[in-house]
Parts: sequence; C-alpha cells; structure tokens
Amino acid sequence: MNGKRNVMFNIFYIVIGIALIACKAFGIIDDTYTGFAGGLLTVGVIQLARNVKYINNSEYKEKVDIEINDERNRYLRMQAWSWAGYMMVIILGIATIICMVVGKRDLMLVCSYSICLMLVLFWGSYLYLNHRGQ
Amino acid sequence: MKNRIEEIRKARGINQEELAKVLKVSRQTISSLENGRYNPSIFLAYNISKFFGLTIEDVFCFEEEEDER
Repeated sequence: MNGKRNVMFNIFYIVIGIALIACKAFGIIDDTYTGFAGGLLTVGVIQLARNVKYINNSEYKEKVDIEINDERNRYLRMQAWSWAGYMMVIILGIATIICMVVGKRDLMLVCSYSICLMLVLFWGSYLYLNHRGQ
Repeated sequence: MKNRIEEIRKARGINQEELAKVLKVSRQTISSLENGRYNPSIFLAYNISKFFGLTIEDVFCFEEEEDER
C-alpha cells in the first residue's frame, strides 16, 4: 500500500467535500450535492486518519500489509468477486424477465444490455489473461 | 491436501501467531492450512517447509484428490 499517495487522495476528497459544502452555503449549488459532499468529507477524514497511522505506526503498517498481501485473503477476494459477478448476472436475468412481463421495456433493455456488457467484459478479461500466458 | 503443520508446529513450541508472523501471512491462514480448508500456493508451501527445515513432502501429503470443481 502506498500510504503517501493515499494521503494525497484523501486530502483531495476533503478539499472537494469542503468546497461543495461551501458552494452550498453560498447558494451556488442546490441540495443534491450536499450528501455527496458529506460522504466525501467523511470518507476523506476516516481514510486520512488510517493512512497517517499506517505511515507512522510500523506495527499497524505490518498488520495492514499482511492483511492485503496474505495469499488466502487475495484468494478469498477473487472468489468473492467471482460470486458477485455470477449473482449479478442471475439478478439481472431475473430482472429482465420481470420487466418483460410487466411491460417495462426500457428497464428490460437496460438489464439485458448489462448482462451483455458483463459477458463481453468477462470474455475480454479471459482472452487478455490467456494471451498474457497466465 | 493433508499436512503436518499443526503437529510440527506444536512439537517445536510455536503458536499460530508466531508462525504467521514469520511467514508474513495472517493467523487465519495458518488456522485454515492446519484444518485443511485451504491449500497453499507452492511459494507458501516452500516457505513453510523451509522454516521447519524440512522438505515439502515431509510437511504436505500429496494424495489423489477428487476434482473440487
């Protein structure tokens, strides 16, 4: 994990969050962005605290590095993404059928095109990894 | 894949936490390896064997297994 680079990103989130809140306060933007600004600010502050601790606390750094690089954790993360992909395709398939039955044609097209996009991404990734010789 | 990690570790008086720290993996990984729930990569198997001063065959029992797919 690159702690210093992440700190820069976190500061960027905080600045954007504060800027959006300031814009709302001065009436430049409407309420739509207030939640977004709050979210950015909260995530930025929490992540900044974690990254500063990562840089300054060697014991915490070692713990985080092991959590990230541990081969079983990596395997579980890959497996979780794989399951999430399968479940997404099934959910979208069911949604497509339901939308077709209730006559929501636009939603049906969005769901079915999403399945197509996922399959294209899957085969693209597969061919790329295969070509790379993994 | 069966292994003798728990047996060898206990014989040497090392706990899971210490072994995990040396191998730079999480304690849960050691626990899963010992319970046979997770099969290690060849690199981790090599590192474990090297740490114990044994060969991979001494630590891991390669048996014919059914295809998990």
